[in-house]
Amino acid sequence: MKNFPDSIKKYLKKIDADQSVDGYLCLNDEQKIVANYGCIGVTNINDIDCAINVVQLFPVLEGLLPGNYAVPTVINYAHIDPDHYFDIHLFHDKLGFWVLFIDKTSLAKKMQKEQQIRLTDDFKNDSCRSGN
Amino acid sequence: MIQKKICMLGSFAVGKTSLVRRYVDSLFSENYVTTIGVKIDKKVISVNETDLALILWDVYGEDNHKSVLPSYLRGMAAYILVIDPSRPATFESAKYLHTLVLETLGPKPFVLVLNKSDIKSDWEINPTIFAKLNEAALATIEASAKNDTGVDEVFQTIGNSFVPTVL
Repeated sequence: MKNFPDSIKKYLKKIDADQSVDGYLCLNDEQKIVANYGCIGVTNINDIDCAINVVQLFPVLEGLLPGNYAVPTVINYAHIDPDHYFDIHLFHDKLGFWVLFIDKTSLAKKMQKEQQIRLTDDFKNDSCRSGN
Repeated sequence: MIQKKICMLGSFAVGKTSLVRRYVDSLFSENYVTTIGVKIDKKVISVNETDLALILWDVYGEDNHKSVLPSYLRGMAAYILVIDPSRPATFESAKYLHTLVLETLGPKPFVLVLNKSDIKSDWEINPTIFAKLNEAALATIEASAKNDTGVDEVFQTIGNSFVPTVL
């Protein structure tokens, strides 16, 4: 595993995750970016302008900041660009507020195929029941 | 610029994704493609000469809504509750999701959408659930993503609720 900050290593250990992190942000109390790394789909986090409001850079974070994340929150399978799905983990510790992006694209695409078959059948059954 | 998180909620195949796609990309497809997780889009609109960015969370619709994660609702400013009246079971799902929001976040403004108005002859309104949701909603709008009717009105109504009217 890349030499991630201890906060991330500790968090991944706590949630018993064997996966790597594709990108992360660390924000201070004013929601300014103080650390950033990685690449999430078409967005290269390494190159972002940290002076810009983080919610403008990452609309997915709208409404989520500021927040109390003493209990970590996970947004599963966030489809934030056309070709990628990410689990977004939100937590904070003494260093700041952390946002981790973990790529779930291959699993999400597999699930989509399975769900497509199931819900297409359910849709037909629903329509039959209502006489359509 | 003001930004607001708006969730699209409703049973599977009621047309949540189609409404967003029609509104954001001016596109429609007859093909039903299920949503996994949540798809996030952004659309900037103007309300009373104020720019407002709607961050649209198109939350997957399952037949068993107990699996809709409260984490998707966190930070939501308003929601769009979508029903396909040609499938009466979708009224029950809408009622469940409305209750889930109330229990998770408390009252939030929402627009009730009766979608697929292009097949209105197939509609079977559940009067009890409809009356309850209609009373609580900012507005109830009949829409068709297919025919592009009522779609702009849905999102504009939500947007209007965030910007004070200039008299």
